[in-house]
Amino acid sequence: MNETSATTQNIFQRKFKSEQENVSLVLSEFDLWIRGDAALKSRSDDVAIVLAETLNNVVEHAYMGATNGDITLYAAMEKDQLCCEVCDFGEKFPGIPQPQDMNGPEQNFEDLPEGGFGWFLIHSLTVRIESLTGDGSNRLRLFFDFPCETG
Amino acid sequence: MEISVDQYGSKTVVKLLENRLDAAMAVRFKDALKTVVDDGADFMILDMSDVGFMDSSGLGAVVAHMKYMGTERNFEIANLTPTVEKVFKLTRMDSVFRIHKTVADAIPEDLESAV
Repeated sequence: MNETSATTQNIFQRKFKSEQENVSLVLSEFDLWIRGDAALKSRSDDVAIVLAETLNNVVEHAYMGATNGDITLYAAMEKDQLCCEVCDFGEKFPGIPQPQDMNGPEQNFEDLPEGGFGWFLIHSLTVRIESLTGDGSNRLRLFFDFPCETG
Repeated sequence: MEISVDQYGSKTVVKLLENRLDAAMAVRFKDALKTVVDDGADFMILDMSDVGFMDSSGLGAVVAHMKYMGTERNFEIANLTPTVEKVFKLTRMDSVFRIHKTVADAIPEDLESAV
């Protein structure tokens, strides 16, 4: 499944095709990597939630269900932040949406949202998001604060 | 997609026997629970003790299932693992569902010993 992969103590890198099953597999590998680091593992759940949402968006929206699109995931510590970059070559990313207001007025049973949670979770758990689009690629960079040195 | 179904009086306990409830799984999950309801479950308790990870697609499927059961039937959840609980809390969906710490908390006392 993985066309290329690289894992060192400080860097995680995978290239894979746009299938949900691949996303699940890569996230499992990522989980092993992040839990192997004493400092990073304290927020491994937060990062896993954000990466799952981001990669699902790529599969569903950038590639619109096509299973032959290339996706790369790169993660590395930069000073006191973990930076995760997801790159795809699908439909042009329309820009980072504002999260839905989950504190809105009481909703009727039938009006409860079944979607829209994804970006809300991404915004809630990251400290900064950058989007770079051009030359046929979309790059989303997601930053997480890790105040302690990772050694 | 594997589930187990156990009946305790009028309450049906459905345990999801998967460690991820994600986009790859969401549709099959909804279909499996719908089948249990269509077979006559009026009061369902979803046991999520095996589910270590749930994404927004999984959460959307849980919400969709609650809406499928409607206001005439009951749908409750039990045994959230820490990451799954976090997704419910961050999205405020913990206030929408009746969530029990354990399955035993969700069923009548006289049936507790059977769990």
